[in-house]
Amino acid sequence: MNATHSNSRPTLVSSALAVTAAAAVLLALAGDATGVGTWLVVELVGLGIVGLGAAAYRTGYRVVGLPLGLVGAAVCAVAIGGFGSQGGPLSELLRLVPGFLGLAVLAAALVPVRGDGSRSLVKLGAGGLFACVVLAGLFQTADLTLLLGTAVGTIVAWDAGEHAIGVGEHLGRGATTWRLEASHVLATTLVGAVGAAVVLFARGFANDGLSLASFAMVFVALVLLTVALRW
Amino acid sequence: MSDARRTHRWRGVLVLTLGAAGVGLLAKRPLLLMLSALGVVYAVYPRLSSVSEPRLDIDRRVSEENPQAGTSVEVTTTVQNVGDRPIFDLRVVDGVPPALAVTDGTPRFGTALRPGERASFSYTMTAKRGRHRFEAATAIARDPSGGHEVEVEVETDTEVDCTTDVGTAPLRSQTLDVTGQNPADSGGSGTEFHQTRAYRRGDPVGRVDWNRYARTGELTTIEFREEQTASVVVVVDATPGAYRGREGEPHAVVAAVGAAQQLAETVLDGQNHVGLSVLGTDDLWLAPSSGRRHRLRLQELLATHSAFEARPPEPETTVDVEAQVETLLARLEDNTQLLVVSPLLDDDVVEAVQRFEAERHRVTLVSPDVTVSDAGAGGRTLAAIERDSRLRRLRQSDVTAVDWETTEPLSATLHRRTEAMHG
Repeated sequence: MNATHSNSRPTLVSSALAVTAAAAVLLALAGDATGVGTWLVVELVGLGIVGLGAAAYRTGYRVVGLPLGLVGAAVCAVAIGGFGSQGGPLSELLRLVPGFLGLAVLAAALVPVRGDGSRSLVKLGAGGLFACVVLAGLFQTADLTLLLGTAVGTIVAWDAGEHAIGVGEHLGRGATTWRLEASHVLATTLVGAVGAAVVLFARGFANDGLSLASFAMVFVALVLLTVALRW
Repeated sequence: MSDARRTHRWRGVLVLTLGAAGVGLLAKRPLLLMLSALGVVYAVYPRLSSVSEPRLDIDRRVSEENPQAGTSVEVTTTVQNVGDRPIFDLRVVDGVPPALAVTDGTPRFGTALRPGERASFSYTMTAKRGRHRFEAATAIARDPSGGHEVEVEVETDTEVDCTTDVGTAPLRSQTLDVTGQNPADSGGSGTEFHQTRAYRRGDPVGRVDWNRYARTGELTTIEFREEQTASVVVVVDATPGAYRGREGEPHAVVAAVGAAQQLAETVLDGQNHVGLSVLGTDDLWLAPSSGRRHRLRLQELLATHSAFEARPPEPETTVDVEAQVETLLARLEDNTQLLVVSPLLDDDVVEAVQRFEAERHRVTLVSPDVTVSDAGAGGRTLAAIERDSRLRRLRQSDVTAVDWETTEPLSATLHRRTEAMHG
């Protein structure tokens, strides 16, 4: 009916929070791997250029927007490729490359590169980041606090991204929505913090002496309890 | 609460949880199992938070309630949480009148509100001719997790009145026997001399021409021009076929209702009786009458009756125009004149008008033109050609048809037409 309808792209505040959370997760998981910070900055710059290009393209400056977007995508590719091809232990590359890819996919879903944002791409991006978290646990390069922190960060990144798309669908990018978005992301972060605190507290009791089997039993009990809550 | 629907947005977390747990079990990493406990917390989170139906108060301020067509009107809408629970996630879409376009800002707003707190947003729209009512604002509230949402509609009466006087209504003089304006052709009681005729039993003694009786001994009765009030029923074409319009402009029903409002006012101003009816999805009959209360009732019906709904009906809706015409004919008194407002996008209306004429009701037709003529390509669309042929057919059967180009005020069209008629 009017101009506001065509502008149902993901909202800016949540999108920015999602990308920030994703980048922070990646940085936190880097550990002693070399060059993560540098290549991350390069990738973020590339994503920024893609965003500018997409904005220019949509406001009618197609001649400027399209090449700008392509340049940004190339910079991102260089960042991911550069990190992947640098000399370092294979395990290090293996466990961080999904995060680099995930960050790019998440940002591409929220710019958005096409359409009004894609929930599947947000899930895919967050999945890449979560793969990093799981790999860090697998290779034992992070302690529980860091694992929990990055897992919360990943979920916040997904949640903020999904929320950006949802609010964008309802209200569009032109509407004033920062309060709504900030309170939502804050709530998700708080729940994550409480959850992480509970897990850490529980580990205080079960620090040593418990076998994996007993952990598994506790976990199954937890899942059953969830089901009992009328899932 | 019963209306809350689940959004299932947290379902994916369970996949991550089980994935992490699976890897943890296979690789014997207790840390990953603990990580999955966090996933369980997030999976339970939307179950533990809930949302109740938000109680909202919406107040709308319009910078100009009676704007000129084409001017900008700034609307400031204030939302207040009058419930006693905080609303963490509130999305409001204001009910902008369907015919008006928002030109600056957006009628959409998102916020979080504590009990009693209020927030406002504003946007600008461009006024168009007609009386425009705001529709109910839609509000969606979600719980903090976003797992449940409730949708409510909040009604607030706000109106933008952008109507101007049309000057003269294009009524047919043959039947428009308005006091002091148009003389009737039939004699009777009145003030203006019409004719004398032979006395008939029962003529009032006061009207006997006694002078003549003294001179000639013949009893004659003087007749004066009868002053009668015209009775006009405005009929709006709101059939599903009329819900069409040019790109970026309101559809023909909005234009027709706007025109009907102005025409009814003008005819009422001429001391005539005006009624209202509609050909469309809903039945409506307001018998011709006059007076202040009738005028208000008429305008209220035009602004609010469901038959004039600005939202187009469902695509497969059909209307039995023929039956509606028969119903209307049964209601009409003799000599009632009809003022039909129709974009003429259907043959049904042409047939209806011819039926009215056949039943000796004089019909005047005002037709807003919503067809597209692509002047650039030098061509006209098929719809425009068909409409022209309908107008021609009506004129051939002696119906007064006014072709109204909606981009100019109706008053201007009618004024030009009157000038042309009187040389």
